[in-house]
Amino acid sequence: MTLLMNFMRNLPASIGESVIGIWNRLSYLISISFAIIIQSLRPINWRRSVRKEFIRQCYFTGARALNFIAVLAMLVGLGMVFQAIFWLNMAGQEEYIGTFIVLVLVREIIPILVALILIGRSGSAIVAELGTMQISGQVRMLDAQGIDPFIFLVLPRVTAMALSMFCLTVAFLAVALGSGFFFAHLIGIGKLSLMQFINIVLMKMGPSEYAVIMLKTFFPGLVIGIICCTNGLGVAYSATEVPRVLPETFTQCVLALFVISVCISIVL
Amino acid sequence: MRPQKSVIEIDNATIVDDKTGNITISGVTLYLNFGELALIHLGQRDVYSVIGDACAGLTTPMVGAISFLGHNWSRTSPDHANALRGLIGRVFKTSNWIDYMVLSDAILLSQLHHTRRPTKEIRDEAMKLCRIFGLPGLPTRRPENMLSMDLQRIACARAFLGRPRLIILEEPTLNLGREILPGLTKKINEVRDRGAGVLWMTQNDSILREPYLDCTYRFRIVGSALVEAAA
Repeated sequence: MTLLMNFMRNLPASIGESVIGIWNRLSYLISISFAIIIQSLRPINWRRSVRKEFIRQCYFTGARALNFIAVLAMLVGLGMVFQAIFWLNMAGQEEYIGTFIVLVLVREIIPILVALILIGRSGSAIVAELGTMQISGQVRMLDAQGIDPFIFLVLPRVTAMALSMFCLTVAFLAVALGSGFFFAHLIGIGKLSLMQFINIVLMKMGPSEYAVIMLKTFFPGLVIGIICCTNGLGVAYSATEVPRVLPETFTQCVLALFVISVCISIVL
Repeated sequence: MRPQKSVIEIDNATIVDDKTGNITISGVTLYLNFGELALIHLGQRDVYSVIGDACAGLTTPMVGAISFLGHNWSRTSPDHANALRGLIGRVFKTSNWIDYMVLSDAILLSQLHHTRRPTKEIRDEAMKLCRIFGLPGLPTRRPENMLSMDLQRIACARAFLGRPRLIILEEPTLNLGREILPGLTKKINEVRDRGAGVLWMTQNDSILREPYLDCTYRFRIVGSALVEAAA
């Protein structure tokens, strides 16, 4: 009975604590996002050292993920684009191919898939890298040299993540559509020429679809980058914290990704 | 004509270790003028980074004030403080090189960040400094592939790169002994002639008696106080 009373007494406090915790985290992320946007617009922050770090990060996050993205895009092309062409062709409704591709792949699946790949591939690498740097005193050493870790470590990683997410999504889309069309033709079920196929897809792309691609890549990229950087730099005491922070970061990133994605889908 | 300001002014400061929150040294008063060298013998106390960080404005003293080139660190904006820190060359006691960066980039980093000097000019200067400190040239490997003694030489080269106004040396002879002293004293004399101040911290008694070093001040840490030692 006493246990139950204690539980009932502590329940509002624990709910309040978790709500305050979520609110604090959310307001922290929003303020860091604004700081990143503002700082990235100041030319003085894009010094040689930061530009070099940005290029390096684009290479690791974007260019080195390209092979994997291409293979996965081919499989998605085979699994979804080819299937769409096949079944709509069977039903004699090829004119809906464009609608299906734009509504399902372009607006929803591909941006989320690319974001999930980047969270697992680059996001976790950023957390581990920055966590190790923090523990071993490398971040302190940068500070001692007058190099602001926010400008040198966070700004290029976050902006590179956002840019890479956009570029990889466009690449994924191109490869998935191309491979789906190619397989359909290889089997001989596609009646459309390549130009007709491209035309059908592009005809279904209105301004809101272009806006959706931009927003669903840049914005989640920015937020995922910020979550990974802040969690990595938040490692304070020991390297054993890194394995604990990694799954937390993954959960936060996936949650943020879906919240942003759903919000953009509702608005546009 | 040099301005009549000290390179570093520590005015009755109580310096706290920001990791532990413990008072490390209290009542510190040190005025290091342009071209002067202060040698601090730390005794048994491993407080290199605590003093170094306080001088570089990374920690705020609990009591008193610390100024660099006339700028009180606690009243300086973050951007200005970072620009001022770009004028400090430092050899860290603990080797903490950025893991993913090759050493040639790590040496140049501060100059690339704070100045608009052509990269080639900075690279050439870094190469000369590496040779002065006993390396064959600018190292292109990652830190994990270098010997600790070579990393110490590279740290010295990095500290003297550019035109630093203050050099903080945290046991620069570590892993190397007297071997590095000729190159090091040569560079110290050069920067002192240019007007920079040098703060050398050591736990090594023999450095205190080193005839090579023309020290302006010698200090010792006794208990939690910094006291001037006899020459």
